[in-house]
Amino acid sequence: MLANTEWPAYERADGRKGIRNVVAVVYLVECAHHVAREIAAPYGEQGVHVVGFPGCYSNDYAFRMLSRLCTHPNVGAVLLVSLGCESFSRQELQAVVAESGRPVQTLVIQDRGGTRSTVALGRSWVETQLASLAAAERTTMSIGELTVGTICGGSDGTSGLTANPAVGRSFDLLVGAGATCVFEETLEMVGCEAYLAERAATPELAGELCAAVAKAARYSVAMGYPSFAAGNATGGLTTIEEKSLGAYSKSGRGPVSGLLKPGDVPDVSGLYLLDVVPDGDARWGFPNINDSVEIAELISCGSHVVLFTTGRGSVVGSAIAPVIKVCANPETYARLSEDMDVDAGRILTGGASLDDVAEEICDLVVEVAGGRLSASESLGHREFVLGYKSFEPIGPACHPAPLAMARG
Amino acid sequence: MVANSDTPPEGSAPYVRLAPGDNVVVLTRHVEGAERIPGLSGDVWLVAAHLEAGNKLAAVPIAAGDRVFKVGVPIGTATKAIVPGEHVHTHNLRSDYIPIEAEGTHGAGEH
Repeated sequence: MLANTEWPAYERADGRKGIRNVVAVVYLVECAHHVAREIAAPYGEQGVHVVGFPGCYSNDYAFRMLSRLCTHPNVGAVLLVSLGCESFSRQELQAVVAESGRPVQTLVIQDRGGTRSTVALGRSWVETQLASLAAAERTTMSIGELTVGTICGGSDGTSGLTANPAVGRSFDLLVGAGATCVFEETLEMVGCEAYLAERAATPELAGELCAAVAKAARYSVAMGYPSFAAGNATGGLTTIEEKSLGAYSKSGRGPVSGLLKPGDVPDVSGLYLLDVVPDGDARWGFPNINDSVEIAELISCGSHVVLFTTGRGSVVGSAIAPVIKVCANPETYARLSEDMDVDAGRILTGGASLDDVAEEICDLVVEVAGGRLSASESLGHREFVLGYKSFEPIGPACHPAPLAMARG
Repeated sequence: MVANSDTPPEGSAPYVRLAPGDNVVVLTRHVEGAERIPGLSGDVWLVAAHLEAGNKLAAVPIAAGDRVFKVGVPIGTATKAIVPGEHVHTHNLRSDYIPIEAEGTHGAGEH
């Protein structure tokens, strides 16, 4: 029945379908951020979201991230806001968006008379796009066309008992119904690599998964910290492998189809691990300075919606894709219920089983895909963070699924 | 941290043992400082500090150098002897992978 569920959606020229019709206002350097924010400010309730890259020096990863986000199926139109003298290639990004069939416009502040006039021009363009997006025909979409990401943030000792395994079981159901599911992150798979490798679709992929986790461990040592915050310890988590154990359970129990890096959009449905740790020497600091970086990376891999499990109680959402909060800790839920979508802590208090909560999560994913606002979405959370990284392209062993299909 | 008492505390144990061989249990609700809770083998554990849900207590005696198991999986090595009912955290358990040296995490659960 999950496999047969349909909801209204937006069809894009490339054949992909979106669950939101966002106008993205994109700043190409921090110096253009204020202007972009001012352009979008009056239209927050109407799906106008601000994303961008603060750096003045160009970076292939950042270009790839913004390319993928501007052509994400949830995005209907794109306004690029450039200061004018930054290194980011606005022409190339505009070409990528135009090629995707989306309306795109670039405003260069230095050529448009400054802040006030650029804001006025930008708002006028946005209003035109909102009118035409509102008139667009809807199509229908089903689970087989949906990509769901998952992240944990503000984890505590309850995360691995309730919300994370419940999301894992919802992933089993969603993948079983034909969806694509993406879990993170290699920094929080340290200690779980042997279990992960056993679930790999091929021995070559198993090797790639172990190598990615080993890279994450090396990177953590170079930074001097694993992926572990003070609040994790207050919440009863002691070691990175203990935190990993909880994070790992978000992946469910099915076979792992492949390994992605930010911006890789899987061709074939299945379960994928997202490698968020840069390749090569440790440069540019922490791989992920906060959860928002990773949410953006999950969305860059095509996630239409993101399941965010939290024990301590995170309140963030995201630009481009709705974030659904699954709260692990019943005491946190009682304190922060207005920010939470699912009370997985009922598993601890005896009010629900893991399977009950997994089914509730699947139902909510379908409802949010069909247009219901998630808690963070209705509260106006549109966080977005993008920094510097560098990645080598993934190798063929990371994507055995198409080969398996060709053989089969 | 741990004391025996002739009077068993009321209510059910506020923790779960996630796998049969685990040498720790996990709190399913917060416990107040100096709260007495039922132990695993008919004894009584006195939890000295305020601990939030998700914290771990020793289920059995753990020796320094023992691996600590949760859900049947090793989560680190004990750095000192731990008695049943005692809080298991950064002050007596260390990662076998990457030690956590972040300021503010040492014994944070004890606050």
